[in-house]
Amino acid sequence: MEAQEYIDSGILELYVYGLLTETENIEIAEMAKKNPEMDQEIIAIEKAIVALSSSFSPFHSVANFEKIKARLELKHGKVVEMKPTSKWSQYVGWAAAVLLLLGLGYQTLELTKTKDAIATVGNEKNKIERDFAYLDQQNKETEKNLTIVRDIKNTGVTLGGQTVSPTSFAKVYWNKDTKTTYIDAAGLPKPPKGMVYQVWALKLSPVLTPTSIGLLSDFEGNSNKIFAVDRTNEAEAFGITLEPAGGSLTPTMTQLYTLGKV
Amino acid sequence: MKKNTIFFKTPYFTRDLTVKKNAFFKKKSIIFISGITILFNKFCLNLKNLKSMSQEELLVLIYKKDERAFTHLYDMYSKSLFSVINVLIRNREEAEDVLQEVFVKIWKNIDSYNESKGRFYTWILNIARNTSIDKLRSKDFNNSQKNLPSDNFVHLLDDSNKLVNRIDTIGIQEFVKKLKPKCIEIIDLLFFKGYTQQEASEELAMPLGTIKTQNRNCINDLRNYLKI
Repeated sequence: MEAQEYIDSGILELYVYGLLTETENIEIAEMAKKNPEMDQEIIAIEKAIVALSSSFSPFHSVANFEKIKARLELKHGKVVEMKPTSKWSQYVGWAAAVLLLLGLGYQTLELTKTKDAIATVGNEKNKIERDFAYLDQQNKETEKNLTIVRDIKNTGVTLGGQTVSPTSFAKVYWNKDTKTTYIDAAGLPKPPKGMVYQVWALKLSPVLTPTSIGLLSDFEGNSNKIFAVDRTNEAEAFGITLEPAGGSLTPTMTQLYTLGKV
Repeated sequence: MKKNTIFFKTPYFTRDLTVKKNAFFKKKSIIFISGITILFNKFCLNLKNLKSMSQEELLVLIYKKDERAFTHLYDMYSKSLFSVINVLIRNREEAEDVLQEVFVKIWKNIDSYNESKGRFYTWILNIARNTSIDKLRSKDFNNSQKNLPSDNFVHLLDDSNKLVNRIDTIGIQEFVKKLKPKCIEIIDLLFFKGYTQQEASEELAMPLGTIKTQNRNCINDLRNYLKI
């Protein structure tokens, strides 16, 4: 008989029901092995009859299942060695979960690192900004000073060192129009504690008349050593003396550091 | 100088806070991830259980005599066998005992199943039938049961209060109710009661060959309904 004839005859149903002789069973099992169509037919018949009979099963308690397991001593079920080829599917869940866990852990770690890095960079940025602001200010001051030096309206007066301090020197920039006066004191030594340089505008004739035009206060704090002093209306010479803090009414001539004629 | 002191103190303070915040975040996320892991695996296991195994997959497990294999075996076939047992025994308590006995036999004799002699399901079906018949013949079986008129499998439905939580099977039961009475008779005799073709043809007064083809037509109707 051909496979299709078997299928159509209805013998496969009887095969599943278990109603055939052993010879017939062996013959069909053999054929089904070689013929996928027949095999599929048998499986379909089996599915149908299992579904039908299962749907008519009266309720039976879960306790029944436990009783059978107890009788078979299956309570402590054996652990079965897992074949990776056939059982990979049950590991997929765990594997994915572990990967997820590792991934998230790694991300958290990275996040921490990044946050730290951002904090560090933020701090550096603040520092740089501060440095920049400072440099900017310095730059502006320098530019301002340069403007003073460059201004052609400014009369530059060089003050040479005197007996007290022959190596000292200073420069006065005096704008005769606006009367503004700046002192470049870079050539003066650091004043001793409690002492301050005082700048004098001098009239030479008819009588030597010194007029104080200001103190070079905060000598150390001024890095450029360019000081703005009071306006000077008329002067024939400028002099710088070292005076006690707060300045003096008249110059202490023994402490005359620099002097220069206009 | 004053500015610098403040400047250096601030980042340490800030960093301290950041570290604490991160530790908290890590703890929280670990709990969260563990939760997800457990749920995900439960989901995977459920999927696995929901997926019906093929006979071949089941046999691989069974040969290892693994407890899980037994659980699968029971899940897949206990209902089917129990309905067969009930048609033959017609006593719920006795039937439950027989069901136990059947599964014990299956498990203990699993090595004697021979794939070249038929389907695994057919093998366990025969065990269920034979055990039931043995029980009917045994001396300790309640004699009054033996002489009850023989009902067909559809009568199992009469015990409707016992069929709770069986929504999945209601459809198929409804279908069977619509089946031709001849189909119910044939399937009842051949499948549930294990009559031979010869016995069935005598019982139903039908030609021998007709029994076989009629049965196939009935099963084909069922398969069309189930789309298998």
